[in-house]
Amino acid sequence: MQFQEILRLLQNIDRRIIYSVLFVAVTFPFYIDWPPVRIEVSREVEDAYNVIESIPPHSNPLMISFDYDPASAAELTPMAEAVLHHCFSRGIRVLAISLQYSGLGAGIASDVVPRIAAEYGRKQNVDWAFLGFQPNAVIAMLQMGEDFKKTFPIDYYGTPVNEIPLMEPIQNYDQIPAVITLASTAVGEYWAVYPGSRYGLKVLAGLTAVYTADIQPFYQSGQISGILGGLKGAAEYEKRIDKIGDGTAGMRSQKTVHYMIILFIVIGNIAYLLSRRRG
Amino acid sequence: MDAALANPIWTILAGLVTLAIFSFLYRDNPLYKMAEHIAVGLSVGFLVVTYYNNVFRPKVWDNVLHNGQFDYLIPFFLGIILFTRFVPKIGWVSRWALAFYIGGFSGVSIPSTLEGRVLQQTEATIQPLLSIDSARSWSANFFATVDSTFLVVGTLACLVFFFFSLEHKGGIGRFAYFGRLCIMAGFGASFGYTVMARVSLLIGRIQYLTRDMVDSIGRLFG
Repeated sequence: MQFQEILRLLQNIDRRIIYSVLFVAVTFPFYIDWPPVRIEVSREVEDAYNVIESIPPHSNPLMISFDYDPASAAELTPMAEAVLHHCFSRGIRVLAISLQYSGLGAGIASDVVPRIAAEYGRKQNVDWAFLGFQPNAVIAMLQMGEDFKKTFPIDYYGTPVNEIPLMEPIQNYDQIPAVITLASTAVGEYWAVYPGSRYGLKVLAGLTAVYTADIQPFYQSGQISGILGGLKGAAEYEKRIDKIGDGTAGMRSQKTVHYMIILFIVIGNIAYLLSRRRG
Repeated sequence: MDAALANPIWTILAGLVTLAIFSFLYRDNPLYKMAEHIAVGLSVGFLVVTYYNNVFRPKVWDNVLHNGQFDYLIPFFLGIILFTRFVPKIGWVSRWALAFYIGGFSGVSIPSTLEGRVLQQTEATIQPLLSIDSARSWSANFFATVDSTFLVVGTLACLVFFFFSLEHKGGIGRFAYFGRLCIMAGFGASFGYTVMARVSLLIGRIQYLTRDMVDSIGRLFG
């Protein structure tokens, strides 16, 4: 095979070969402890941890908004699990809601919250409650600023909110120490702009990596008090609470795939430059 | 995710549907089409049931029929007339509901957007260029000062890049070019995060296939 032919092939690697290599690069690290990863807790994650850590046990609940659907569960469910482990291990109460427009976030919350609560023996409606889903995130956010019980007359399981002990002291955001939105859309930003700015609610954001760069200005301005960005953010939070989960497990694969992507970029560019030099 | 689908049959089925979707990476095929249609159908079914249980029943049905709050019929009526779009002759009626929605939402949204997205963001860029705190080390002070200066200069440069009343020549041109570099750096960071996000999704699915699905197969046949 001519050298020129090899250069041409390297610039046009079949996508199926690339997919296969990526598949191996993701799968391989699950079975061997390689490559080593060093997870360092960033300032954004540390700030988020400190806000949750400062909530007194058995007092008013941390609100967790499941604003994502199954397509983003790989990134955000490890985050949700890490935050829930942190809360339930310390006796911090949790008030879960979902404002993801398709309602699928409610399905995820109804799986994750009871499961982690059961690990610590936390009681439904006393230590945690799940109010369910509301459409039109902005309107729901603003309505909760006035009255939670009007926004969510019944919880996800059909119990009237008036009969939930956890909700007794909760009228509006004044009784909520902080909210963490786990979001795969611009809903994360809405939390900062509406309840954050208008009602002074302390907002934390657990976001897919796609949205992490977009939300940074809100962290810099103080409108968001802490950020968990993508799977890396989940891994950092797991390290901070000393509880290894899917976030940490995924970082090895993440590292391997990044190596592969860089390798493909370098190979493609070298082949391009050499083929151009040879005319 | 393992507890979500405690029944191993459902876990295996979900894994098979994932594999069917992945088969598109090789080429389009009937298995992929079937999985795609199942996903769309299930999503819509779930959406309808969730909206009925979480929105219609507690907010309209219960309030009107059980609590006697008939004012809830007004938004219900506005919602219903949106469907007149399906009948071309009376489709114009849906504009009433849209007009009400857009007007109300604008009134709610504009002040909050100005406050949250413009005023507070502008305020965050107005800060001292020299960031010196006696409690910090000199290197921390140095980098904090570099951060503050870069933030202010970078913001101004990006604004100048989009300022077309002056020709981008000479000093203005170089400053605008610096703004362009800042914007490109921002795009680069976003793109890097996007790659990480997409890889994370693949990791999640492969974790599901190699752990949850394999475990379920073991439980079912082991």
